[in-house]
Amino acid sequence: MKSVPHLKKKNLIILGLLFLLLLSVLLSVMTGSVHLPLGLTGKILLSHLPFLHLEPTWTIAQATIVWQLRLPRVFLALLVGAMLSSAGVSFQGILRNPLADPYILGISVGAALGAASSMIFFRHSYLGQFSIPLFSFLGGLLSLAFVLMLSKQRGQHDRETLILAGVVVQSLIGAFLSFLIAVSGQQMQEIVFWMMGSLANRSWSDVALLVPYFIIGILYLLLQERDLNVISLGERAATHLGMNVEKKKVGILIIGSLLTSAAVSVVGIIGFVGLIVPHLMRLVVGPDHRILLPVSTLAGAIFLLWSDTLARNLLNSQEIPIGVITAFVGAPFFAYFLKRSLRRG
Amino acid sequence: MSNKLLSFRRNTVSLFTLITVLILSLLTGCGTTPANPPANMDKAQSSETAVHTTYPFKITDDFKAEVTIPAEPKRIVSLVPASTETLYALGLGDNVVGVTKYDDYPKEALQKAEYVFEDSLKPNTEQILKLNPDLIIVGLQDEKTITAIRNLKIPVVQFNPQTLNSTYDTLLKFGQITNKQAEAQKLVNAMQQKEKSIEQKVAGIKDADRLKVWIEVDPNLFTAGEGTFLNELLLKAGGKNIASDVKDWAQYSTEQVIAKNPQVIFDTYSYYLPNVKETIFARPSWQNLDAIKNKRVVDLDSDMVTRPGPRIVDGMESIAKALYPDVFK
Repeated sequence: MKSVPHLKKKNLIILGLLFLLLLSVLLSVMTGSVHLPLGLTGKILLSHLPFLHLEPTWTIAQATIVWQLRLPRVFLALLVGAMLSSAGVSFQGILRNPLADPYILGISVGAALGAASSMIFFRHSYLGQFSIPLFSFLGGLLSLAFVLMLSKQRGQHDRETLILAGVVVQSLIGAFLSFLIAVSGQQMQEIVFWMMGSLANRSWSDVALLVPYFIIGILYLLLQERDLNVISLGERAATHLGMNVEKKKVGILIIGSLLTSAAVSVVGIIGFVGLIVPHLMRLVVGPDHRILLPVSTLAGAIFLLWSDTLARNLLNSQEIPIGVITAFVGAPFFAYFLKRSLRRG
Repeated sequence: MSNKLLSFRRNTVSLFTLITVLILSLLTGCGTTPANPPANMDKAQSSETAVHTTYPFKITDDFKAEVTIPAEPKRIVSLVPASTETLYALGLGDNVVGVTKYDDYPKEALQKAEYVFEDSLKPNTEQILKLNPDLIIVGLQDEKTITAIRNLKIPVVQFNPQTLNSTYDTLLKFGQITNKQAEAQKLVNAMQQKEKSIEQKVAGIKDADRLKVWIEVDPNLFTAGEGTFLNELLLKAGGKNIASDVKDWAQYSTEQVIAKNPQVIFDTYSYYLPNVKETIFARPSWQNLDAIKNKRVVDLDSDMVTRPGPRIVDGMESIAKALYPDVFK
């Protein structure tokens, strides 16, 4: 296959983003509510390398802060950002709707209902700390199942019908959720807090939970890059080009939902990442999914990492809900993008 | 003959009148002045005996409302668990006709009441009216709700003591309002005695031996900072609050807790979440804290340490016992 000129700079962009990612990781690990000198943080990080033997000039508390608190949180932010952005790219590619984000098919409400149910009904389950993620994951997938069932028409899932079915399912499940919250009494605060999304107090086990989903999901999506390009030409054209559009569509939607559900089940509902990052990257690198997908994934990771770092460091005595930061950054960008596309006609 | 009868009658009547006037003046003379409760009630009252409230009784509650109680309250609606405890402690259990579902102490409060309000934050005002109360006690319900309740034209008093001394003041005010001043005084005296004995024992603990404590009021690491009631109880029980650098109910980060390395951890939310201690013990990044290594994580009875009522000093005692079991056997 002839190498397309713009793909050449793909590797450059990705390399640049990887560098930016590394830098962001280092800077994030160095900031926090407890002040740790830069050199110390660097040494603590390096001390985990097998071949380096460094004299511990730090306290156990400091090491715990860097290695057990900040680093897993950084990795979690990267993972979730990557998962939500890549899911966003896939949803936007399939549904060809500029407002499409990973939650458009009601996954977020389903996940929230699962989490709320877990908090209210299945408190004493032996699953312990994995109870909430499991139930919210199932809830998210259940939403998708309903949407697919609802929108099925002669074996086809028309993309407009999919979106409308998403609205219906969101409203129905949302009503259930509101009712549960209203009668939940003492769990109300916990549920609402969960729904706002947060990376606080997560550990390496949460990171480990997400890694398999991320690997499976991103590998699958990377293999679908060309097909996503073809589908964006229009489903008729895609069918004429020999693609089994239905199967592709449903497959990509399911994997995208898997990524989203998994992410939401661990950190709650964080908005704007899956919507803004793909759009922004499309403005920068163009609509070719062969560049757009990996670039959005990396950019999403960096975006969420910075949002989380701001969320935990801006105020002295409190964490700002991360959804607030992503919205504050996301909304103006979105407004700009909207104006720009309107100007273009 | 009739003259003698008449004069006898006249004399008897005037004698009775004299006696009545004397008694009345004695009573009014002993009645406490409303509207400006003294700051140190124990000093003012301890010398008097069997003090009775005269009605109508005027009082200014904690939110600056001037309330007139027309007669001794017989049907009281208490929308605050701490107030229900107080009323029962004053022997008014039979007069408490309405409570909230959280008023679980004493146990019979929920059974004896004629109506139990499910929603304590926005109680059904029609139900309040239906109970035909002559006194309503509110606390931290929102302004709109309280205004609506005040508009029912029934005496409403609102108290929110957040220190030990203001709790004592409030208990005495309850005594005044309900004409149970002797009982209230007795209760406050006993509480102050207990507080004093705890303080004496605490005074014997050297500063270096005083334990650093992390108080967790919520799994999202909200704590009782400087200026909160819990903080006062902890300090008086001889503990040190690691979160003394924040004010009121603030959120701490895990990093801050780990950096401060508390020796004891108290949680106050085990009444609505299960396995709180186990969850805290299982936190991976907390394993090196002194409190975890020495297994000193304690579920506090949240009601005893947060309700500004008759049991608050017992709550303080429970903290002292948890911190220094050898001193407070």
